[in-house]
Amino acid sequence: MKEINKVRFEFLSRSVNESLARAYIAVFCAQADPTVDEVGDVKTAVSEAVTNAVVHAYPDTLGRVRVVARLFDDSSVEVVVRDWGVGIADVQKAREPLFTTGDDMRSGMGFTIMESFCDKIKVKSVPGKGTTITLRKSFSTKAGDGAAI
Amino acid sequence: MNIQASLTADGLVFRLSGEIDHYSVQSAFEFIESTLSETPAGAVALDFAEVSFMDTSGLALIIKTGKAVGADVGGLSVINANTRIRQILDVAGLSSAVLREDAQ
Repeated sequence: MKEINKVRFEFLSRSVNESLARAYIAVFCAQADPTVDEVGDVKTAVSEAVTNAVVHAYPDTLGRVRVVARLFDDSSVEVVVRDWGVGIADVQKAREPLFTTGDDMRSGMGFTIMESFCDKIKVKSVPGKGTTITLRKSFSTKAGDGAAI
Repeated sequence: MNIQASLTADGLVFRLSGEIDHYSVQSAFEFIESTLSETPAGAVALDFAEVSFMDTSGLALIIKTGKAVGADVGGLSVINANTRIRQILDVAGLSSAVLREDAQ
């Protein structure tokens, strides 16, 4: 599996930047010629991961959120969302459906949706140091395609 | 995201449009809450026909609106939800509680 393209972008943990991250990733994924549904899956999962960082990583301040996205020659994408914030004390608990440490505008379903819409997700976190969420999704290869320009 | 309210023969309908995410839900809910406080009790619907994107922040909006509407006055319906929104509702186990057949 060979990497064919990679992008990296950073923004401050402002909520308004959630849509920015989604749009950036959607345009990047389009290079692999995915279906509309497949892009939607990745957009939604990235939105969840970025929102987690915005809501939880830096409680009383703004901090960096970095997104690194890579496309591979097997039509798959990997998106890594990383922050250097407070970290998650119990990752297993955090991934339980409906569990949230947020207020009542949080459903606690973010990780569940990431798991539903991606092929694989990995969560690494160290309290006090930050959290890294890695999402992987394979796009369908379309049979009988002519040459792409 | 944009949200508009209209009172129809079937009750109060909130038409949402654009992207529903963490950034937009707080103000959306504040509008819903203040409109509910000024409107006689009755059936309430959230119309998703013009929603181009929703993540789980939309689930929180639906749940919180459902609580504000209460179960004893016709309740809350989610209408015109596209396949992806239905999928998210399914994962959250909310489909049977709120989804209604597409309506105008």
